Amino acid sequence: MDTDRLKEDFGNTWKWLAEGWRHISARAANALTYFSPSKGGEESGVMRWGLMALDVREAENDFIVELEAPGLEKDDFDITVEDNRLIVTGTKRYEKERKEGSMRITERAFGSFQRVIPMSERVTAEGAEASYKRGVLTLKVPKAVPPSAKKISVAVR
Amino acid sequence: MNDIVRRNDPFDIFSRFGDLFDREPFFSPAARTEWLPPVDIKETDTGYTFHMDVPGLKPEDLDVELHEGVLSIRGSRSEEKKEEDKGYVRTERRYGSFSRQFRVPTNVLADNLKAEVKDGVLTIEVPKGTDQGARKVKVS
Repeated sequence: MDTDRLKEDFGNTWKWLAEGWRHISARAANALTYFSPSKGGEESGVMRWGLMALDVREAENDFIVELEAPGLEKDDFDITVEDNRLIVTGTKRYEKERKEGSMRITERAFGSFQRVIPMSERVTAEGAEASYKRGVLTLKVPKAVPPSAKKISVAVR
Repeated sequence: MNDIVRRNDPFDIFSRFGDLFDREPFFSPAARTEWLPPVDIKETDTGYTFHMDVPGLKPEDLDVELHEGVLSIRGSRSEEKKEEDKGYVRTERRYGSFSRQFRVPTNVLADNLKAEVKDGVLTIEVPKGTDQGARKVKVS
């Protein structure tokens, strides 16, 4: 029966999708990022989802974040520090690579993105540093100094 | 050679996580790799341009070879950084090696193969021609 065939195909498709999701979640679910069309961007038909993987390292006084963002320029990033999270927005521009010709394979994502990176502690923009090298954005963000805990001794009468 | 489907849907991303798609003629099944960098391939009158996202890789980490109509791109990211007790609280980046092969549909001028990496993007220019042979190109 055709419906059986359909069911089987559907089942296979589902299994196949589920397998894909399993791989994604196992590897880097958080890295899956949506790229929205940038203003006036000639980028119709490009990928809208891409992986922007990051590592976070915690040192004594700061956090070091390394975010993979290939194909951008320094000025394409906007970084905000907010209590206990970092917000990185940026635009990966398609125009740069535009040339006459027809696309055969398109896997890379273009457009505007935002990644919100939660920190386990409050951080501060004061003294924060950012650098961009080989397509990796590195952020060094100091931990916010907590209001110094005062030790008050209470005399027992 | 024009039956290469242009895929724009988000599910396309699955293709990078295993041999789930078979996209001949450009693609031959990749060897098991630890990560699969995404690629764009463009055809012009004079050749093919490959753009591959390879954040963090240096020229010496990359290996580009054209052999009998198959373009192989290999790369590796060293794992040393990932040692534990270095305070990593979150690790999404993939380390290790990757390998992708693409069948180049026409004969190409292997002598004029060009590859460079900038800002984490590897660009390979494969000019069309009639000559065909084995070449290895240095990534600059």
